[in-house]
Amino acid sequence: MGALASLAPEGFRLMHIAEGILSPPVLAGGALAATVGVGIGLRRLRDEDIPRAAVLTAGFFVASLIHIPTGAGSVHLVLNGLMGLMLGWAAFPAIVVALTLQALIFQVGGLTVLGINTLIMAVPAVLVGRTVRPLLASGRSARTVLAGSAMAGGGAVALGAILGAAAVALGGREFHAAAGALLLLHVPVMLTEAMVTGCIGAFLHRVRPELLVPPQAAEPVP
Amino acid sequence: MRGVWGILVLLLGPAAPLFGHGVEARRIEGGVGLHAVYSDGEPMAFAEVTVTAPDGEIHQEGLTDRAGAFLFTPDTAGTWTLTADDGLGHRVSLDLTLDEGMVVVPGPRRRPPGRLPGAVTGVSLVFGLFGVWALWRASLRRASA
Repeated sequence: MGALASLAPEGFRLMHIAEGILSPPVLAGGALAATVGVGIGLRRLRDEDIPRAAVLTAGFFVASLIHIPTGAGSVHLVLNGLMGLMLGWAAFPAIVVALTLQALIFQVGGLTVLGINTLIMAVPAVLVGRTVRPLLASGRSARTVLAGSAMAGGGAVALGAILGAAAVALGGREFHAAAGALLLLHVPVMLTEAMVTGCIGAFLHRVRPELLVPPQAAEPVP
Repeated sequence: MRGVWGILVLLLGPAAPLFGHGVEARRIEGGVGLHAVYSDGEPMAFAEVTVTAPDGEIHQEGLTDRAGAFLFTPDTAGTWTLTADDGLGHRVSLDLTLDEGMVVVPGPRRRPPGRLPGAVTGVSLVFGLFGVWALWRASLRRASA
């Protein structure tokens, strides 16, 4: 008696839906939608952009392992906003690779929820990338680029939290309560993410502005 | 006067079994349970816990405490399943096998690798995968040229 087994939930704190919560049709739908996104991303990924995708995938994978303590709990960088800015649709294949490795190596998330978790991360990436892009054009002032990138970073996390709540609602929970709780939980992450993505965006705009043009601007590859 | 006592006895008589139904609390030492923590070390406090007995029936439902701990007292030997769900997409389950003395039989513990070795493995695989993808694209291009 008295055995108190300690264990960590399969799932990092942020925007990962664990296995066993969602029904098979929802999981299948998520997997299908994510597959379509990965397909579009791979078609748009030019050969010369593969190293960029690899670096961002590795960054996304490692960022989730580094927890920064804050006053209320700890946060880790998500970097999906940055991926949206730099990769566009190619964020889908990058994120699916990183999440697969997290599931296989750290038993985080899981392979059955891979599709849903990819959507939760990659859909906001593509959306903020598209929305913010006009603010990052070459003639823009440094302040505009900083603000635009920061909006992309914070916005992608906020959208991810809302999508996470929607996924939890599909598992039979109440959407508003989950969305409120998840958004509140992610406020420190949004702020950190906005700061980091803003700085990286401003820096890249100054030294390598072509990195802020995602692969989708190019002609489609055969 | 005797009549008054008689009336009292008549009134209280039927109520007596109710008064006899007292409750007593006895202390329990220990118990079996789980401690649910997020991967950043935060406790999974006040998460919904379901305890499933070896026969598949639900034995207990409740919440973890503020430290993410939950204890129950099993009544049969076999494999019990505990599931904790925070309602925000995190869920964890634990199987505990108990012997006749209600003591946990230690099973094989599957621990994820440490952060550093895991991170190195992951990053290597990322670059490996994208490298293979780039090589394949290059070979396609060469074939079409």
